[in-house]
Amino acid sequence: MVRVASGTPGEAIALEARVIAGARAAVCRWGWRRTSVDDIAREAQVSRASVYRCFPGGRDAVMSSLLADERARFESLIAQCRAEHLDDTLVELLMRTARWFGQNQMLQFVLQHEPDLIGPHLAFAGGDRVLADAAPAVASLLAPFLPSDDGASERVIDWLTRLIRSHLLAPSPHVAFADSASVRRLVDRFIVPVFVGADREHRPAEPPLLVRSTS
Amino acid sequence: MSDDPRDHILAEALRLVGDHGIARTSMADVASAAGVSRATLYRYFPGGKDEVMESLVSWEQLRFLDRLRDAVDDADDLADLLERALMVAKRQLDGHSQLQRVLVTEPERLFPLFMRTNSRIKDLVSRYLHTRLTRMDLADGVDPAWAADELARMFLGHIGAAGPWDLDDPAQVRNLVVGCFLKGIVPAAP
Repeated sequence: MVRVASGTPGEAIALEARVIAGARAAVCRWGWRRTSVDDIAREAQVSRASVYRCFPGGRDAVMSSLLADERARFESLIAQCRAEHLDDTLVELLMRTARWFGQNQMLQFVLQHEPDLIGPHLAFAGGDRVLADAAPAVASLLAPFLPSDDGASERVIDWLTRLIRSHLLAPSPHVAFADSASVRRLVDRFIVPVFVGADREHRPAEPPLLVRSTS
Repeated sequence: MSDDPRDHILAEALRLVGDHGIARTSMADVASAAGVSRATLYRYFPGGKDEVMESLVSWEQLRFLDRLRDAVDDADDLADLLERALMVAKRQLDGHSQLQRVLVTEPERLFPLFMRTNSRIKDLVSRYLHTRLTRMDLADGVDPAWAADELARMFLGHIGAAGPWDLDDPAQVRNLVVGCFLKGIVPAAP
């Protein structure tokens, strides 16, 4: 057991990160529901008192910070997909999202063992939740390639996030997400034309320079 | 309805779930409503209540897809077919009292069941669309099997969860289908 002091703000932040990492590890081992403050403390190698000092709200406070941390990581991953051209940006977005989904042990564990928790976030009517979480980040990534108007862009982003979600949950025999050439075929054929269309419709005066002219 | 006793049992199970929810529907309730012994019920569904509920979801999804196919089978163009399918699906799901009840009261029991049938339903829709796409004019270089798979995803992804598109508004449905679903798949308008 390591005693972690929290005298300075820097130390408090370090402790917070440590507790959140502990909570993530505990969920990967025990599942979301069964993770207790004891599990979190054990995985983080800190005392229960340290967990409560950092998160006076206890387990619920740690878990909601873990979710916020997960969302922040996902958003920063999306922001890193920015490229000069639309097609490259989309290829990055799809490949990185698929890798994140596949390698996210916590998400995979919960999907496997506690699908009732994830279900409402990823599937059917509750799908709105994850879409609502991811859509603004995707929208800001793709804003340079979309008209800055009413709801048209929002609708295209929503369409795209639903398509990506479907590919994550039900792998396609036609697309290998680890293979950039394969992802590029998906992007070029089925996704880019929608953006070109969305742009032309709303900014007819602008030249359709969204896609690399040659490749 | 067919003479298959499974159909009869599942129809009764559906009615019970609509009245009492998933948690409060027992094997004894299903047996009694279907007029069979518990032993008979277990012969058809050896996995017990979990198997009844999983079978019920698949069975009802297949019936839903059958009705949908009947509603769009005479469409002669792809946009028309998909627009009608979206609107009919939306109406059917909105009017499905058992589904609407469970979505509100027991989503945590329903979602895992949907997750399990996810890929299979997508494949069924994709297979149907594939047969239609092979008879239609597609943009150069489009593989009908691949396009059918993407269209099935887009279609199913939009009927479950409400989003910024109003699927009761024909103009918006047309925009969704022509502007998004079919953009890379059908030849560009002259």
